[in-house]
Amino acid sequence: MQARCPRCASVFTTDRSGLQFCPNCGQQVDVPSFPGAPPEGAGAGWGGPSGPAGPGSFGPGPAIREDTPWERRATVGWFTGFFETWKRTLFSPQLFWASVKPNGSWTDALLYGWIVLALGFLLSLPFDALNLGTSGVQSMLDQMGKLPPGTRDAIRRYATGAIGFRFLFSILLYPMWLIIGAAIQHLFCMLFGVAKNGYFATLRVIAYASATSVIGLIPCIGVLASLYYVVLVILGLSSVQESSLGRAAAAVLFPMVLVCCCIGIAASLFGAALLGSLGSH
Amino acid sequence: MTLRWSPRSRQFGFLHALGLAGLLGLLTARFVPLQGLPFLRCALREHTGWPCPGCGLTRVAVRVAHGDFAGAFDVNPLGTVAALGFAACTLLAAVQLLFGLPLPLCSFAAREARAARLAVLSAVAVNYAVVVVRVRFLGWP
Repeated sequence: MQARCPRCASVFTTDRSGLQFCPNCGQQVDVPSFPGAPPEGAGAGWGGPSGPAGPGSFGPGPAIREDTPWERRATVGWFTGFFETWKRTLFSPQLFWASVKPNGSWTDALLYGWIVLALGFLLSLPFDALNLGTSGVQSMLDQMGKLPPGTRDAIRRYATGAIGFRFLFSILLYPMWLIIGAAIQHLFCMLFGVAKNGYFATLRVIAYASATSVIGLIPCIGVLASLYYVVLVILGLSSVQESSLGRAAAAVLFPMVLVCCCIGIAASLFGAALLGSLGSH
Repeated sequence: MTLRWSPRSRQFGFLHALGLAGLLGLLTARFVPLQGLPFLRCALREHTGWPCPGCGLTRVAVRVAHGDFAGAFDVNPLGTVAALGFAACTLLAAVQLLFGLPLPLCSFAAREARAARLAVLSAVAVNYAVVVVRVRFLGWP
């Protein structure tokens, strides 16, 4: 049976009545008894729909699609809604995506992505002020002997004085980039049959997956965050568009191979140079 | 394939997002000197001599934005088709928003969808082969 937490309003599944804790926020909830229910403290559950996997289960089952905590911020509060959504996206993505409604509000998702990106930008400012990113880039550039001079200058200029540029093009224009990026991604979703629930479901996945932006702009960790972002988008598309993981992975990775393999090569060179610079210190 | 029409409305949707992408891309290609930017070179081609599947897309965008369709087709045929598709989306989206016209909604049977997917992927492969032959063996820029 399902119960709703009076504090965070999330719906969770339980197989017993009585006092228990909300798996989402930890609030104590008194679940009323129902006919045929095992008594309070009857033992481990079976890990039914959206519940944690109990002994003998095969992992979490299909979850109930509901508004994300961010979309319920009017009832749970802005901070709780934001933080819960961010936490679930990053740390329990499979459960999170299984609960995301494909036809939920896309403007809410866009606003969430925008706030996450702005937060990441603010978090990266101290690193910029300390010049941490710049020294790393200079070290990498030193290792990259064959880089064309123009490219070298462009990378150095971006790394040394691009706060205003990044603010304008990444933060202020984020809604436009999201709409365009989601449209292009959705074209590839259509190509690989991952478009069952439409364009706005894809847009919601991309917006919620940008939870990695908070850590993405921090030097060194940013590369890992970018990789995790790709993983989150693949998991999200497969769940929200109700398709297989393979198709979702193809839809996400194909455009990268098709158009961005130059960027992939450049990233590999960067990575090799970074490893080289780490090894030389 | 079944075709039905959406109700008349001015709601923002997928077509308008594609139209926005096309408008922004073509305006950028028209007014920003993209080919002079140093970081828009193909790293794969510079390091290996082999073009990537997306090689020439910047030149395609610039040439289409300047009305040189034949020149764009010489560089990357499928890229030209895609650029013209985006331009068409821009026009359609503008007209649709202006008059609130209904939009055609196509849905494919599983077999038709598979065939369409295969056709697009084959077109990508053939296009890449053409680009490789032109760049590697015919010495085109």
